[in-house]
Amino acid sequence: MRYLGRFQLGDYVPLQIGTHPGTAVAANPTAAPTARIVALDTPGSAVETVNMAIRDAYKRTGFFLNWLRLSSSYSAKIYAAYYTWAIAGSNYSECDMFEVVAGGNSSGAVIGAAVIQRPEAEFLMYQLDDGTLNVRRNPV
Amino acid sequence: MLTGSVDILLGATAYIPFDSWNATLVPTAPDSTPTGTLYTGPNLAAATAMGASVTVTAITGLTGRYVASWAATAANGFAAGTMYHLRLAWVISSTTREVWVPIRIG
Repeated sequence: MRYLGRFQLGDYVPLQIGTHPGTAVAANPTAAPTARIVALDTPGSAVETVNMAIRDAYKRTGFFLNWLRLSSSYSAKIYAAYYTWAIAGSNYSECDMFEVVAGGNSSGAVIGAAVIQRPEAEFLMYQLDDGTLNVRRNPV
Repeated sequence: MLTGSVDILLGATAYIPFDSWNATLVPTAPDSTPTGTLYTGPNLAAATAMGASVTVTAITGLTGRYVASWAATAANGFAAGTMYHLRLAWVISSTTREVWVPIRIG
Protein backbone atom coordinates (compact mmCIF):
# COMPACT_ATOMS: atom_id res chain seq x y z
CA MET A 1 0.00 0.00 0.00
CA ARG A 2 1.34 3.39 -0.97
CA TYR A 3 0.12 6.81 0.05
CA LEU A 4 -0.08 8.81 -3.17
CA GLY A 5 -0.66 12.21 -1.55
CA ARG A 6 -3.28 14.93 -1.63
CA PHE A 7 -5.07 16.13 -4.75
CA GLN A 8 -7.83 18.56 -5.76
CA LEU A 9 -10.74 18.09 -8.12
CA GLY A 10 -9.55 18.25 -11.73
CA ASP A 11 -6.14 16.82 -10.85
CA TYR A 12 -4.87 13.57 -12.29
CA VAL A 13 -3.83 10.85 -9.83
CA PRO A 14 -1.06 8.57 -11.16
CA LEU A 15 -2.24 5.04 -10.44
CA GLN A 16 0.67 2.70 -11.11
CA ILE A 17 1.07 -1.00 -10.58
CA GLY A 18 3.76 -3.58 -11.20
CA THR A 19 2.14 -6.94 -11.80
CA HIS A 20 3.71 -10.18 -10.51
CA PRO A 21 2.71 -13.82 -10.02
CA GLY A 22 3.21 -13.81 -6.25
CA THR A 23 6.99 -13.64 -6.54
CA ALA A 24 9.49 -10.82 -6.88
CA VAL A 25 9.62 -11.33 -10.66
CA ALA A 26 7.47 -9.06 -12.83
CA ALA A 27 5.09 -10.78 -15.22
CA ASN A 28 2.38 -9.63 -17.58
CA PRO A 29 -1.18 -10.54 -16.57
CA THR A 30 -3.64 -12.32 -18.83
CA ALA A 31 -5.71 -9.13 -19.18
CA ALA A 32 -5.39 -5.48 -18.24
CA PRO A 33 -5.34 -4.98 -14.45
CA THR A 34 -8.28 -3.11 -12.98
CA ALA A 35 -8.35 -0.47 -10.29
CA ARG A 36 -11.51 -0.27 -8.20
CA ILE A 37 -11.78 3.18 -6.61
CA VAL A 38 -13.53 3.22 -3.25
CA ALA A 39 -14.27 6.10 -0.87
CA LEU A 40 -13.01 4.64 2.37
CA ASP A 41 -15.80 6.08 4.51
CA THR A 42 -18.33 4.18 2.35
CA PRO A 43 -16.59 0.90 1.42
CA GLY A 44 -19.83 -0.73 0.35
CA SER A 45 -19.73 0.72 -3.16
CA ALA A 46 -17.18 1.71 -5.77
CA VAL A 47 -16.84 5.19 -7.22
CA GLU A 48 -15.65 3.63 -10.47
CA THR A 49 -13.54 0.79 -11.81
CA VAL A 50 -10.92 1.61 -14.42
CA ASN A 51 -8.63 -0.48 -16.58
CA MET A 52 -4.89 0.03 -16.32
CA ALA A 53 -2.96 0.60 -19.55
CA ILE A 54 0.41 -1.01 -20.12
CA ARG A 55 3.39 1.34 -20.28
CA ASP A 56 6.45 0.89 -22.37
CA ALA A 57 5.18 -2.51 -23.51
CA TYR A 58 8.33 -3.62 -25.27
CA LYS A 59 10.89 -2.72 -22.59
CA ARG A 60 9.36 -3.25 -19.18
CA THR A 61 7.24 -6.21 -18.18
CA GLY A 62 4.18 -5.76 -16.01
CA PHE A 63 4.20 -1.97 -15.62
CA PHE A 64 0.74 -0.41 -15.85
CA LEU A 65 -0.48 3.16 -15.42
CA ASN A 66 -3.77 5.03 -15.35
CA TRP A 67 -4.00 8.80 -14.92
CA LEU A 68 -7.21 8.98 -12.88
CA ARG A 69 -8.98 12.29 -13.42
CA LEU A 70 -10.79 13.56 -10.35
CA SER A 71 -14.19 14.38 -11.83
CA SER A 72 -17.40 15.48 -10.13
CA SER A 73 -17.77 11.91 -8.86
CA TYR A 74 -15.16 12.75 -6.22
CA SER A 75 -15.29 14.98 -3.16
CA ALA A 76 -13.06 15.86 -0.22
CA LYS A 77 -12.53 12.36 1.17
CA ILE A 78 -9.94 9.61 1.41
CA TYR A 79 -9.99 7.06 -1.41
CA ALA A 80 -8.31 3.76 -2.14
CA ALA A 81 -7.46 2.13 -5.44
CA TYR A 82 -7.72 -1.66 -5.11
CA TYR A 83 -5.81 -3.20 -8.04
CA THR A 84 -6.55 -6.70 -9.30
CA TRP A 85 -4.84 -8.76 -11.99
CA ALA A 86 -4.73 -12.43 -12.93
CA ILE A 87 -1.80 -14.63 -13.94
CA ALA A 88 -2.16 -18.33 -14.72
CA GLY A 89 -5.59 -18.48 -13.14
CA SER A 90 -4.71 -16.80 -9.84
CA ASN A 91 -5.83 -13.32 -8.83
CA TYR A 92 -3.34 -10.94 -7.23
CA SER A 93 -3.85 -7.55 -5.67
CA GLU A 94 -2.30 -4.36 -4.35
CA CYS A 95 -3.83 -1.16 -3.08
CA ASP A 96 -2.94 2.53 -2.88
CA MET A 97 -4.64 5.41 -1.14
CA PHE A 98 -4.98 9.11 -1.91
CA GLU A 99 -6.80 12.06 -0.41
CA VAL A 100 -8.96 14.61 -2.18
CA VAL A 101 -8.87 17.99 -0.46
CA ALA A 102 -11.10 21.00 -0.98
CA GLY A 103 -10.52 23.19 -4.02
CA GLY A 104 -9.84 22.69 -7.69
CA ASN A 105 -12.46 22.29 -10.39
CA SER A 106 -13.96 18.98 -11.44
CA SER A 107 -13.91 20.05 -15.10
CA GLY A 108 -10.12 20.26 -14.97
CA ALA A 109 -7.71 22.62 -16.67
CA VAL A 110 -7.86 24.46 -20.00
CA ILE A 111 -6.38 22.20 -22.67
CA GLY A 112 -6.96 24.43 -25.71
CA ALA A 113 -8.11 27.95 -26.55
CA ALA A 114 -8.81 30.12 -29.57
CA VAL A 115 -9.49 33.83 -30.01
CA ILE A 116 -12.25 34.71 -32.48
CA GLN A 117 -12.41 38.33 -33.61
CA ARG A 118 -15.79 39.69 -34.63
CA PRO A 119 -16.87 43.26 -35.36
CA GLU A 120 -18.96 43.49 -32.20
CA ALA A 121 -16.52 41.83 -29.80
CA GLU A 122 -13.60 39.45 -29.33
CA PHE A 123 -14.48 35.94 -28.21
CA LEU A 124 -12.32 33.49 -26.34
CA MET A 125 -13.34 29.86 -26.76
CA TYR A 126 -11.63 27.24 -24.62
CA GLN A 127 -11.98 23.57 -23.79
CA LEU A 128 -11.50 21.92 -20.42
CA ASP A 129 -10.21 18.46 -19.53
CA ASP A 130 -13.71 17.01 -19.30
CA GLY A 131 -14.58 18.19 -22.82
CA THR A 132 -16.61 21.22 -21.76
CA LEU A 133 -16.49 24.08 -24.28
CA ASN A 134 -16.81 27.61 -22.90
CA VAL A 135 -17.01 31.00 -24.62
CA ARG A 136 -16.23 34.36 -23.09
CA ARG A 137 -16.47 37.75 -24.81
CA ASN A 138 -15.00 41.18 -24.48
CA PRO A 139 -16.70 43.58 -24.14
CA VAL A 140 -19.33 41.71 -22.20
CA MET B 1 2.05 -4.22 0.11
CA LEU B 2 4.49 -2.14 2.07
CA THR B 3 4.21 1.55 2.35
CA GLY B 4 5.73 4.92 3.00
CA SER B 5 4.33 6.87 5.89
CA VAL B 6 0.74 8.05 5.69
CA ASP B 7 -0.11 11.64 6.58
CA ILE B 8 -3.19 12.06 8.77
CA LEU B 9 -4.57 15.25 10.24
CA LEU B 10 -5.01 15.37 14.01
CA GLY B 11 -8.69 15.09 14.81
CA ALA B 12 -9.62 13.34 11.55
CA THR B 13 -10.88 9.83 11.02
CA ALA B 14 -7.97 7.83 9.60
CA TYR B 15 -8.40 5.22 6.90
CA ILE B 16 -5.84 2.64 5.73
CA PRO B 17 -6.69 0.19 2.91
CA PHE B 18 -5.00 -3.19 2.83
CA ASP B 19 -5.14 -6.73 1.38
CA SER B 20 -5.11 -9.98 3.32
CA TRP B 21 -2.83 -12.17 1.21
CA ASN B 22 -1.76 -15.77 1.64
CA ALA B 23 1.65 -17.41 1.27
CA THR B 24 1.68 -16.80 -2.49
CA LEU B 25 0.39 -13.22 -2.23
CA VAL B 26 -3.08 -14.14 -3.47
CA PRO B 27 -5.76 -12.01 -1.75
CA THR B 28 -7.59 -14.49 0.44
CA ALA B 29 -10.47 -14.35 2.89
CA PRO B 30 -8.89 -14.87 6.33
CA ASP B 31 -10.23 -17.20 9.00
CA SER B 32 -11.74 -14.19 10.78
CA THR B 33 -11.86 -10.43 10.38
CA PRO B 34 -8.33 -8.94 10.43
CA THR B 35 -7.30 -6.85 13.41
CA GLY B 36 -5.56 -3.50 13.71
CA THR B 37 -3.42 -2.25 16.59
CA LEU B 38 -1.80 1.15 16.90
CA TYR B 39 1.65 1.59 18.42
CA THR B 40 3.62 4.59 19.54
CA GLY B 41 6.59 5.58 17.42
CA PRO B 42 8.85 6.31 15.74
CA ASN B 43 11.11 3.71 17.35
CA LEU B 44 9.35 0.38 16.93
CA ALA B 45 11.79 -1.33 19.29
CA ALA B 46 10.41 0.80 22.12
CA ALA B 47 6.83 0.97 20.87
CA THR B 48 3.89 0.29 23.11
CA ALA B 49 0.35 -0.52 22.08
CA MET B 50 -2.14 2.33 22.24
CA GLY B 51 -5.69 2.07 23.42
CA ALA B 52 -7.34 3.52 20.33
CA SER B 53 -9.90 1.18 18.84
CA VAL B 54 -9.33 0.22 15.18
CA THR B 55 -12.29 -0.86 13.07
CA VAL B 56 -11.67 -3.20 10.11
CA THR B 57 -14.31 -3.31 7.37
CA ALA B 58 -14.44 -5.55 4.30
CA ILE B 59 -14.65 -3.94 0.88
CA THR B 60 -17.85 -5.10 -0.76
CA GLY B 61 -17.35 -7.36 -3.76
CA LEU B 62 -13.59 -7.87 -3.39
CA THR B 63 -12.16 -10.91 -1.62
CA GLY B 64 -9.47 -10.19 0.93
CA ARG B 65 -9.66 -6.39 0.72
CA TYR B 66 -10.24 -4.27 3.80
CA VAL B 67 -10.07 -0.80 5.23
CA ALA B 68 -8.93 -0.04 8.78
CA SER B 69 -10.21 3.13 10.43
CA TRP B 70 -9.87 4.92 13.75
CA ALA B 71 -10.23 8.36 15.28
CA ALA B 72 -6.86 10.13 15.21
CA THR B 73 -7.76 12.42 18.08
CA ALA B 74 -5.87 13.83 21.05
CA ALA B 75 -8.30 11.96 23.30
CA ASN B 76 -7.03 8.72 21.74
CA GLY B 77 -3.43 9.70 22.51
CA PHE B 78 -2.33 11.24 19.21
CA ALA B 79 -0.30 14.43 18.94
CA ALA B 80 0.60 16.54 15.91
CA GLY B 81 4.09 16.06 14.50
CA THR B 82 4.46 12.57 15.90
CA MET B 83 5.01 9.19 14.23
CA TYR B 84 3.01 6.08 15.03
CA HIS B 85 2.65 2.59 13.56
CA LEU B 86 -0.39 0.56 12.66
CA ARG B 87 -0.09 -3.25 12.76
CA LEU B 88 -2.59 -5.06 10.58
CA ALA B 89 -2.81 -8.81 11.17
CA TRP B 90 -4.87 -11.68 9.82
CA VAL B 91 -4.90 -15.46 10.06
CA ILE B 92 -5.17 -17.81 7.08
CA SER B 93 -5.10 -21.56 7.77
CA SER B 94 -3.74 -20.93 11.27
CA THR B 95 -0.83 -18.82 9.99
CA THR B 96 -0.72 -15.21 11.11
CA ARG B 97 0.42 -12.61 8.58
CA GLU B 98 0.91 -8.93 9.17
CA VAL B 99 1.90 -5.58 7.73
CA TRP B 100 3.11 -2.48 9.53
CA VAL B 101 2.08 0.96 8.31
CA PRO B 102 3.98 4.07 9.50
CA ILE B 103 1.58 6.88 10.40
CA ARG B 104 2.47 10.56 10.68
CA ILE B 105 0.03 12.85 12.43
CA GLY B 106 0.09 16.43 11.14
